[in-house]
Order: sequence, then C-alpha cells, then structure tokens
Amino acid sequence: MDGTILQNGYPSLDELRQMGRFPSEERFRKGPVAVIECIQQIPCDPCEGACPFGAIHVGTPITNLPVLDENRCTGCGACISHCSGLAIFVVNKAYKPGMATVSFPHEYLPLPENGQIVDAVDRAGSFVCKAEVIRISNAPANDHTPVITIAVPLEAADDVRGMKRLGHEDSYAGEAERGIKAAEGDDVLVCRCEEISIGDIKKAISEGATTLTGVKRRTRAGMGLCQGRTCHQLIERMLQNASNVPVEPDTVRPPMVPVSMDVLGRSADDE
Amino acid sequence: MMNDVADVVVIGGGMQGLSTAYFLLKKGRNVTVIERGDIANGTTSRSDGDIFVCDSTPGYFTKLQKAALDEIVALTHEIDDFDWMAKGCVILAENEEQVEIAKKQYQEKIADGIRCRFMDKHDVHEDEPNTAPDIPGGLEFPDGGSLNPMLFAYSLTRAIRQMGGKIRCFTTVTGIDVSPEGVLRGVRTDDGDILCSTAVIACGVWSREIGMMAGLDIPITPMKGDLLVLEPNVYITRRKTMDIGYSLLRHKKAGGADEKTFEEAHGIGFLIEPTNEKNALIGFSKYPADSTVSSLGVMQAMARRAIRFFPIIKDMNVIRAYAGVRPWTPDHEAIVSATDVQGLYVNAGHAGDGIKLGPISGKMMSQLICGEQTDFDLAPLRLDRFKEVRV
Ligand SMILES: Cc1cc2nc3c(=O)[nH]c(=O)nc-3n(C[C@H](O)[C@H](O)[C@H](O)COP(=O)(O)OP(=O)(O)OC[C@H]3O[C@@H](n4cnc5c(N)ncnc54)[C@H](O)[C@@H]3O)c2cc1C
Repeated sequence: MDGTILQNGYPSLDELRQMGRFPSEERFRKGPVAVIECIQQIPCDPCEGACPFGAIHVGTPITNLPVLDENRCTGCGACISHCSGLAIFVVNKAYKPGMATVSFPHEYLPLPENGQIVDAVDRAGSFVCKAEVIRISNAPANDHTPVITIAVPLEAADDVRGMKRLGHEDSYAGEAERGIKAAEGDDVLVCRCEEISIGDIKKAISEGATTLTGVKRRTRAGMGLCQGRTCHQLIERMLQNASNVPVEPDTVRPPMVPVSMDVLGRSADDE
Repeated sequence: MMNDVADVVVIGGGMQGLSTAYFLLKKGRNVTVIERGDIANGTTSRSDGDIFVCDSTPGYFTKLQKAALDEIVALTHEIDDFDWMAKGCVILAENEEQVEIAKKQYQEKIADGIRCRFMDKHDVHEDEPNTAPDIPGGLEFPDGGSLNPMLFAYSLTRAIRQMGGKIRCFTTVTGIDVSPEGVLRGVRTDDGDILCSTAVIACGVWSREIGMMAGLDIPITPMKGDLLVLEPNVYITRRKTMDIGYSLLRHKKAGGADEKTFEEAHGIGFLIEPTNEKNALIGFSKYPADSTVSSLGVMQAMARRAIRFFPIIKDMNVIRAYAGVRPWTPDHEAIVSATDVQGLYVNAGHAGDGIKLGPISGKMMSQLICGEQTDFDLAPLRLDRFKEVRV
C-alpha cells in the first residue's frame, strides 16, 4: 500500500490526485505540462513570477499553494528551477507513442550527458526504470539549478520524478556554499521562515554549536513553517567549514509537511 | 586525554546540573560540569517551560513548588533573559464530575496559600472565548508563567563560565572511582580522569546507569511525553490552558493493567501553551517508554483531545512533533540527596517538573554540599526513602 505524506514525508500519487494537484489526463495528452507537487504552505512565491504565461497563481496570503491554469501552461519548464522546494516537474505524455518525458531539477554534480542511460527514481528516491537523458538545461536563468529531461515508458510518467545521482564528490551543499560566499555579508538571511541571518548562525557556532540541532536550538533556524528544507544544507556546510569534522545528520521529526489537526486526528491509528 | 582535578564535578549539563553548578559557584566553589553532548542534550531540550503551582500534592510539595517559582523570578534579575512570561494559567473541567474535583482543588490550593479563582461556565467563556461551548468550569491560577528551557540553559551556561566554572561538553562519564571505604575519589571520563572529593549525579533518566557505576540503586525510569507544535501566528488562547486530567495524572503512572483505552494507556490529556515564538505547543501524553521518537498514534490522540476543548484548532496546521522522557521515580517526586558513597550526591528524578524545580533543587544541593541549612527539610527527597519502601 502507498504510504502517506504523514508517514513518509512525500505525497503519494493518490494524495496528489485527491488534492487536485494534478493536471487532467486530457491536458496531459496534448503535450508538455507543469506538474506542481507543492504541498508546503510556506511563504514562497517565485514560481508565480517565473511563469512567462501567467499560468501559476499564488496570490495572498503568500502561503497559499500555487494553482496551475493548465490551459495557459505551455510546459516550457521556466518554473522548475525557480521552486526552492524542488517540487515542480514538467511531464510530456505525448512525446512518442508509448513514451513520455519527465523534466526535473537536479542539484547534484556531476551532471549526466545527453544520451546517457540513467536510473529513474520516484518521489521516495526508489528505482523505477532505466531512462535516457534527452536534455540538460543549465542556463544562467536557472541559477545553479540544472533541469534534466529523461525519456521513460508512458506507464512510468506519473511515478518518475528524478534520477539517481551519479557521484557523491560535489553536492548541492557545495553549490549552496558557493551561493553563500557570493552573497557575503552577515545580514543575508539563511532561514527565511524565522528570519535568521548568516551572522546569527556564525554567532551560534562561536558559542559552541557543533551540530545542526545545536544551531537550531540557539537560533531557531529551520524551525519555522518549512522545517529547514531550504536552510539545513547551508547551515550544515557552515558547520563543516568551522570544524572540519563531518556534521551529524539532523533528527527528522514528523510530520514531514504541515498537516491540519483535523486530518491528524482523523487518520487511522496504526498502533 | 586530559587528566584533571576539581573541587566539585557535576555530571550532566541539563537543568539540574547547570543549576547546581550555578549555585555552587555563587558560594565560591570550583566546579566542573561534564556533559556527554551539547548543553541541555537530554530532557531539558525536549520540554515545555511551564512554571506553575497548580498540580502539586498539597502541603510540603506545594510549598516547595511555590519557592521554586520565586527562585526563578529571582533569577530573571541575575542572568540573561530567558523569555520569562508571567501570565498565569487556566485549568478546565470537562464535565460536572470534574467541576467537583476543581472545587476541591480550589480549597486545597487556598489552604496552601496559592492564589486561585474558581471559574463557572460563564467565567470560562469570558476568559477564553474559543473554549468549546459545553465546558462547564475551571480554575484560574494568576501566578506563575512560562520560560524557554533552552534559553534558560544557555543563560545559566554563560553565567557559569563568567564565574569561572568549567563546562566540558561532548565528554562522557564512564566510571566513578570509589575507595574500599566507600569514599568518592574521582570521576572517569572518555577524555581522562578527574580527581575530586565531591560529585553530583544530575543525569535525569540516565542517573540510574551512573549510579550503578558506584554501586548505587537510583530508581529512575523514563516516562515519555509528546508535544505538537502548531504553525506560527495562530491565536487560540491568551495563556497556558489545560484539562484537569493533567493534575489527576500527575499522581498516576499510566500504562496500568486496568487501563482499557489507548488514551488511558498513554496518559493522553489536553494542554495548550502559546509561546513567545508566536506558535503554540499542544500536549500531552504520559506513558512509560524510552524513546524520543514521536508516536503517530499518540499525536493523533492528542489532536483529537485538543479539538475537544478548542474546536477552532481543527483547521490549524501541525508543523512539528517532538518527544522527551521525564525522569520518573516510584513516588514521582525528585531525589535531592546524599548517598551511601561519601562525597557523591544525586540531584535527579524531577519527572514533569524539572525545569520549574531546577533552581530550587540546585540551590538546596549547593547548601547540602556546603554543610549549610537547606531551604526545605530534604527528608522527603532523600534517596534512601526508596530503600525503606522495599524492605
Ligand atoms: C514533553 C515534556 C514536557 C515537559 N514540560 C515541563 C514543564 O513544562 N515544566 C517543567 O518544570 N518540567 C517539564 N518537563 C520535565 C523536565 O523537562 C525535566 O524534568 C528536566 O528537563 C530534567 O532535567 P535534568 O537536568 O534532570 O535531566 P536532563 O535534562 O536529561 O539532563 C541530563 C544530562 O545528563 C547527560 N548525561 C547522561 N549520561 C551522561 C554521562 N554518562 N556523562 C555525561 N553526561 C551524561 C545528558 O546528556 C543530559 O544532558 C517536561 C518533560 C517532557 C518530556
């Protein structure tokens, strides 16, 4: 049985469908279309501004989930790299008979090459099938978030949402660190939800924090609505730079995404 | 490896360890705190910060808690800010039967000199308009308040260092060195030995294993509690509000054979605490378990219980859950005591009150060590009271 957001931290296909977060099959058949799998009610709206066709609407309050106008969307993919939650994909179910393409953000180096056969994975990161890379977009407009397009069997189009990373040498954290160095300045915000700056994090480290938890407890960074999805990697790298010892992974606390008290209270007991 | 000498070694850098070190330093003693993780690595960082005198046993323990509150208020003038908010709290009765219990508690608290107001249905809804319409009454305690336990721990840490105290984090105590005559000689750690003639075991739920290193039986076991954190900027109540079951459960160990429902077996009750970070904590649970991983079933039961008292909570989002283990003793009161090993003391087992009782216990531990008169008679808090029970 499919797990739920509450248990796994990522939504199941059924849940996404029920939440009305999936374009219609009719629209899918017409060609490429954006699939916005954002379930985080966080103060975040770059996707709205990223769409050249005005097809994404967040509105006020800014914590609304984005809504896609599927008829305006051309499947151009401009939104993919602008989503800091890495939750937007473009799926083309009319690619070739029996074949679809899936475009997704991929923040790991090394990047694959065109024509390379890679392992396609689902929302949980589990292997689904082999896939061929047909496009790699790393334009300056992507702002260090490359977008990869792979071809997969049509049946896999709703499940595949990424590929296995190829190497482990350089990761998103490396990219993130470069971002921080470029930005400089202690007043740059690292945690947007709680408004915690680079300077605040540096102070916590100087007062003895050596772990992500230590920084969180001293500053509240990563304890807001998004629960650290955006800032944890940055803080980890800052800690690593400060101590030269590998940083302990943070404790993951449920629920992985905000869930209403009503839904929580009603979900079936599993004990 | 770093071999060392100290006047007093305090084992554990949670609320009890830090408070003990603080008061010993104020008396001019030379103190080293040994903590196996970061500051407040244990239960202190998984706690609420409620400092109320509303659920204690009448008499001695109520007076002790009142003194504990005064001690914390005094500390707000001595050390860096720790988000102290003096707001009082409200306790709700769910039905007429509980209204009668509330009336009885009202009498007891007044007798112990604690300010308290009985609230009828009208008063309750006037005070907190979001309360479910059928809630028939409750009690208001105007004194007390809440603090941020992490900030409290960090403020004490700064004060300890300023007074010249040493805190060695990420150092684990691995043994206690006792002479054949039963006198403390030192403390062994994974980073060298420390020679000392006085040491305090302040290790919360881990005190039992430290005690065993010195041949002592310290009967402390873990009693789990879960909390939910609501999204920021929601408004439900002005102040801490809980169901009267909280005080009933205090005297009861959940998980007994006669408890039929999941709720009973897990000590589920309702508590809401608006925090300074503008979100709110929702509790509570109380059951024997040794894990700090939140239990889904308990989270669900707490959500249902909260909606029962405040239906508007229904549409609010939970962003995080966490859990901690209260250091529980057989009679659910703390151990602030000397031991059979000369020079070795215990300050632990404060159950669900260890933040509140931290400063008063630390102060009395420092008085005990320095051979002074303690603020309260320590007999009800002695370790050997459990021996007597067993014989
Ligand atoms: C959900 C929940 C809510 C609570 N709410 C409240 C509340 O509102 N008000 C209140 O007053 N109390 C509350 N409590 C209770 C309170 O948190 C505890 O009583 C208190 O934190 C205990 O403090 P401590 O110093 O005794 O133990 P701890 O904080 O656990 O400290 C013990 C320390 O010893 C260290 N240690 C262990 N073994 C070793 C070793 N071998 N060497 C070196 N160090 C070691 C640990 O790392 C730890 O840091 C709550 C508890 C829970 C679980």
